[in-house]
Amino acid sequence: MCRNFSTWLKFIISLILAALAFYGLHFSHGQLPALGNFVNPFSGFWQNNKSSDVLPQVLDLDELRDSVVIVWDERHVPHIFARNDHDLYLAQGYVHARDRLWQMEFQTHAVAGRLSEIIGPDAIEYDRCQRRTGFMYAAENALEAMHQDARTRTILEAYAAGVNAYINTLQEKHLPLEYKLLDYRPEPWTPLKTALLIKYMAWYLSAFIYEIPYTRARKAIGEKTTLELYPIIRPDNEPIVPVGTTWPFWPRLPRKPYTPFSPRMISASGAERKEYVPGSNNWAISGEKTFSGHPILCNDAHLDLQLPSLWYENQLIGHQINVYGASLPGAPGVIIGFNKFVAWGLTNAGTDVMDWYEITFKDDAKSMYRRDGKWVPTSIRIDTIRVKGEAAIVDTTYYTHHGPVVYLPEEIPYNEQIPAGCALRWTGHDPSNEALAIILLNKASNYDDYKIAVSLYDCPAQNIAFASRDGDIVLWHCGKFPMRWAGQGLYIMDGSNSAHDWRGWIPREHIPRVENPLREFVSSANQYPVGQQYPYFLNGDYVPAERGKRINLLLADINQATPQQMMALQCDVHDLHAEAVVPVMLSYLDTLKLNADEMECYHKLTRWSYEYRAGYLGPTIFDYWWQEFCQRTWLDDIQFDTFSLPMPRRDITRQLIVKKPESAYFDNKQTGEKETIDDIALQSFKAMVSRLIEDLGQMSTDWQWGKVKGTDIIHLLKIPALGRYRLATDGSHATINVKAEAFGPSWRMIVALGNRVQGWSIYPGGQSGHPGSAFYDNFVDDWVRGMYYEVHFLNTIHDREGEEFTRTILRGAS
Amino acid sequence: MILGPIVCIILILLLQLITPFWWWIMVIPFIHNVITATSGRDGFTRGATCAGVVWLAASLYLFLTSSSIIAERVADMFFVRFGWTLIIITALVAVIAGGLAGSSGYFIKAIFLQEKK
Repeated sequence: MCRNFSTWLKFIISLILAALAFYGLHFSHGQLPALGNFVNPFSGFWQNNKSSDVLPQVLDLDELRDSVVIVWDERHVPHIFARNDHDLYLAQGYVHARDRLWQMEFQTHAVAGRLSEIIGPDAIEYDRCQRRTGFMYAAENALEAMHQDARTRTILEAYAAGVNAYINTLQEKHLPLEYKLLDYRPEPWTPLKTALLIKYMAWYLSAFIYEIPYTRARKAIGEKTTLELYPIIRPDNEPIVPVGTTWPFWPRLPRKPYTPFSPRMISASGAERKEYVPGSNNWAISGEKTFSGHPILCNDAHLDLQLPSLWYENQLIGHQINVYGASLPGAPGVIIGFNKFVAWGLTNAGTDVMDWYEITFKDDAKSMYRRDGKWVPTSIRIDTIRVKGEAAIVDTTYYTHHGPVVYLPEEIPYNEQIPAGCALRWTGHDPSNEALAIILLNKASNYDDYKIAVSLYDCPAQNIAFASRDGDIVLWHCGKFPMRWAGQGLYIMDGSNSAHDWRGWIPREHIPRVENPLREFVSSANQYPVGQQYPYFLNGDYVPAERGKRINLLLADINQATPQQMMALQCDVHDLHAEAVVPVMLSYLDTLKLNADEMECYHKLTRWSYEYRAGYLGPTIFDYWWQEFCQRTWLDDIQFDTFSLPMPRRDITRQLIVKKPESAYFDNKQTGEKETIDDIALQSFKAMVSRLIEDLGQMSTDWQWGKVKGTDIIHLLKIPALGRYRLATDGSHATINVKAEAFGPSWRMIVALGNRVQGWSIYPGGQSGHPGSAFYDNFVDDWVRGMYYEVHFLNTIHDREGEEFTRTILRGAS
Repeated sequence: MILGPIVCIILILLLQLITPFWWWIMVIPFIHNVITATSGRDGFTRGATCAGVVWLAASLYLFLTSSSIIAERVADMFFVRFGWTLIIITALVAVIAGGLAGSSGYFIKAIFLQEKK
């Protein structure tokens, strides 16, 4: 009996232990993936290895109409040769999915407000914000427009078929690592997802929402001072269209309503305004100024830096097309690139295409809202947000004729910039077919083709620089812009008064443009695009002038431009802001009042060349000093009882220092005495030195700019092990070579047109999105060093045969 | 005597290669020990050895051929210093899972034998 009992006991204990082991290993716990699956050498993370770098020689893809050849070069860039458009974009979809599937799906899930499905309840408020903003509504409208055109319809469907062909053959063990970490599976790709991705870019590049700070500032300090401290046109601006250009048209502009509107409520947040916004540089030089006699086009797109990279490099060769450049995984075609005849590059236009209208609902049912003294009905859109491990949430969005009311008056917005109780009017919600514009640009061979292509381009508005082998260099401020009365859209608008509505669009033939100018170059750097004579009112988030000025200064000086000189120019880190302000600030310092440490910093600054190099100490000292100086200058002027206004940007402070040193802004209102610029300069200098020593110790190599600032490239899931951190890069947010914490040149390209087109490129990432691949982040170190790769622009599949290029043949069903 | 574990190892290997399920390292040692084990400790050792050998060899092979980059990154993710420690962790998971399944296999047999008596 006793023995019987002990056997049972042992059995039960061993069974419980085995069950515990199974439970512990089979299920995920908190943030941890299910360990049994994850470490299983046969299908867990061990399989996310370099096997994805081994390219198949032959692949059967039944969906193809003909065979396709992909030539992979030594950097894992695919050159896709197809005989028709269908096969070309199908193969591009396949290749994008092969290298970037997880990223493509994750990004579109994020836009659609579906992160709770894969991450859990933490993402609910994010998702709700995405749903309410109407991304699905926008994508559906875009998809309808894209489907109405037979060309884009074919291309989008072929692209989706290519992605799905990859998903259908994907073995469990080869699921990208992130699926295994989060324990979910890819779903079929659809053209709607491509539309969502386009809307993601549209929002990212046009949602600069400053209605709250502007409205609040107007109330607190008056409209005149508001526009002095937060001007639309930045001081010393050099417009994209050279000053002196005349505009031979006299449009009838909408009339400004007589009575000013003051909104009822302004939610408490939303004062943040970054020193930098997503921007970029582009320029084109005519053959008159180049060594080869043919135009050169350069572009570097400044965006948040991420891994897997936003961009994917590829070449597409098909019927009447041979284009090379950067594509967005998830969308067909080449976004920034070149072909044999032309090259083009993008910078963000920054012109405001998004306004907020305060809505008056009739009652709590929110079924009616006021418009011109009458009650008119709202429509509703119901969303179901599915949540991992929890019950789904049903959410309602109310739509007015402006657009969705993103947050109701009593709600607290997840995105603090969004004003509660307001409807969103955004060109991104309107039907548009940017994909067609891109496809036509890919096939363009001259300026006329460019004109047709960009006239179809609506949102996000871009400055599209263009150069052709024929010798044309042009730059248009492309997009669909509302025709506004002066000041319209700067503040929260009256949603019940139709005089505040948008009344038509700036005609395409009137949008700012520059064609083959006398100075033999065109350039843009996110600045306000035109001079004072331009008849339309443009509102927007335009960046301070220094970067654009520096580009123009250097380009004006060049006569025999070579691609190598252009590389140096893209990597230029001379800061005109520091050059203008540092000597003046130093001149206000009473050096007799400085101690030994402070004198050392003083000497460092006097000897600084105003270049933001990673190894220099000057930029760090100036950066710290500038922060202290601005805080001491402004905080007493912009802080109020219940809110504070954003800090005026650097160019406004610089204007005061250089041109109005007697300004009352330098007086600290919180003290009894009257401070002058000398006091502020000395106080902030001393504070700067003690803070530097406190943060970084006595002056040493730890003070180097590259170490203090550092640049991060962050994985989409913010997993540190999958990103690159603290890269010692040159540059600041005011230099041509833009660098901020996790922000910088996301794609650099130089194209020399001519009888044989040549291109150079680099981006901070790698072609593969698989963290176990040798191509995951292999460009990063060269990117930090400011290096470029000469691209292989192929004409036939036999080009450069015998080199270390691999060929994959995709066979169709027949 | 040696044949049993070899069959067990080959079975795990085969099933793991053709299916994505990790738990073969529990199921096969369990069945194996129902048949062959002579004591609870024996069951544990056999199960742990079979499962451990397969996962150790497989992860070691992958680490040495194509998985060193991913191992370094995953190690970093779990705050482990070196990529190769993941080989040990992987083998350890197999040893625990296979061993516990193995001893359960023996004890269930023991009960049946006892009831028969």
